Amino acid sequence: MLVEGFDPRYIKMCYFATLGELGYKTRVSLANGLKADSPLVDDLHVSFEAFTSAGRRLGSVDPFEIIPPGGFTMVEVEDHVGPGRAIESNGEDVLGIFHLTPGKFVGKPTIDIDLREIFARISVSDEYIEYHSDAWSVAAGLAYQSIPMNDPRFGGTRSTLMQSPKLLVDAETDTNLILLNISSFQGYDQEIAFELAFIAANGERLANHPITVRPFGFTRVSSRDVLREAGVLDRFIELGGNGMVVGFSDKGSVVPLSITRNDRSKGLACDHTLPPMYYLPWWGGAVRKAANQRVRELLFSGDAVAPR
Amino acid sequence: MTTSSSLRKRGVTMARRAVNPRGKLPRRGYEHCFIEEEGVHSRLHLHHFYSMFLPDVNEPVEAHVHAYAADGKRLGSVSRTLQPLNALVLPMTDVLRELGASATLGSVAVDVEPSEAYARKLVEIGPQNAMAQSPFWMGYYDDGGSVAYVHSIDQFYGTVFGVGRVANMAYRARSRRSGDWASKRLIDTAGLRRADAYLVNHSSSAGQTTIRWRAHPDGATLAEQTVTVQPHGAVRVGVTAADVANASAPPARLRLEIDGLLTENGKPYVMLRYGDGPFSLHHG
Repeated sequence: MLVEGFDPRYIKMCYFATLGELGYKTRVSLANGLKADSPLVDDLHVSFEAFTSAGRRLGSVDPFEIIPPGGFTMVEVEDHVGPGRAIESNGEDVLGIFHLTPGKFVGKPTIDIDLREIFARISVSDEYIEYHSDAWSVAAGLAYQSIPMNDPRFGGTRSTLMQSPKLLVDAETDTNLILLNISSFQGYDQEIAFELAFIAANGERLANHPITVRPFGFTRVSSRDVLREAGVLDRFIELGGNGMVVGFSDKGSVVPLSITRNDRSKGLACDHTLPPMYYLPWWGGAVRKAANQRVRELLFSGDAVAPR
Repeated sequence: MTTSSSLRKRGVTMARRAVNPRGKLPRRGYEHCFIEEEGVHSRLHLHHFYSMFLPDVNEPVEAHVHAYAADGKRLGSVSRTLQPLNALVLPMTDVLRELGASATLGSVAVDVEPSEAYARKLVEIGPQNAMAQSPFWMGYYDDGGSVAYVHSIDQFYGTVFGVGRVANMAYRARSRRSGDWASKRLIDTAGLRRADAYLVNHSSSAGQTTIRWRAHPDGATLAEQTVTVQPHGAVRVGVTAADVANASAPPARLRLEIDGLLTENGKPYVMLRYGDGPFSLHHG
């Protein structure tokens, strides 16, 4: 499928949210995984842009580094965002996007490109996002591929069903959910309504928490705060302090990340979730829509504290 | 899709139909590394995912956990019943105790077996030869407040659950060795006390490979070990602050290489310890 008018900076990206509010700096490992014998082999030109949590574009940094084929680099976000840096965020966390633009496309505002080439360039490497603190001797993160999303040119319906059975919350542990609303389409303006259901280990649905995520923005949700505000934190802990959080949106795809923190050590567990096709590789179409509708009826309606 | 791959796919579909005439639901498991050494503990994060896909069936399912020691020896299996929407954190210490085993390193595979009603419904609404898979998260922790979790990155090769012996061969995923692999992640050495790579052999045949920690960017080898990993076994190859400090040019960063992963996506787990802080762990 030929994608026309595609901004080549969005072919290969590394998108993430910073975690300064919790006391961590952010750095990323970027790589040029294309090998010399690949027909796509090229240098990658690294540039950067940042947005507020509400999706307001704060600024950008022109290409500042070139990664040759087989090369690696590590970039500290603080080198580009903060007082005296190219982008000022007034101390707020940002949604950052590192763009890794193939050399042959640098300087071109748009190109026509086959969708297969986009994914061929993405699939050669994960990008590693790492949260770190010298004071706490912590460095932890996660790897993923930042695929183009929420792009009307790619067609198809967009929805998110998140099931994250790694919800750990107790007196010294909190699980933060970070939801990114990203697009590879410049005119993207879709705010995504995302509903969360917090379910204890025994299947009791203890709290619902609807959020909205602005285009090119992000939202961080403290599970402990949600459970406390719903008056069910003690109940959740009494039931084991672990469970599952389910998220659902029928109009838009968010990137759901899970970051569990131990308050005592400041240690972090970070990971993404797995989409339904990891469980049922053939899941999709009308079957998926019907099931999602039932999940929505069961988990996102009525009273939250309603064991099934 | 090329004509030959289309024909091959059609052939596979027909063969599978022939060996599974009653239309049972085949299931592939996933496999993780477990660590129970030097104060590190592991726990499985399991959940009743069938209830997320077929919420109206509303029946329990059985999670089967198969454990192997680092040398590939099968330690046995334990099972847990999961009610709809239930999640279970299962400590590896419980699994090992139940099996009467004392392994400190190894692998654990999970197959979540649906009830007959779920299986029947999935076969009914799914495509021909529909399958189910059981990915899960593995958590790691210690008394010092370290916390980590990793999603499944590769399957448990060699067995397909839910079907007979002949169908097993038709539905089995082929484990292919991957080529040389280099982690795309750079590891900062400032304050690094130790970095350990844990490699699991997800396949059903032994494999030999070399695990190497390199300085970045000069590429000098800091630690290297050639290992033979038994089927479903695991090994650890680490590098210490002393290895880094004793390098001819102490590097600011490290990276990890493997001369051929043992399966297609069998990337190693990387555990880092900085100063006196908690460990972190993620796949390489």
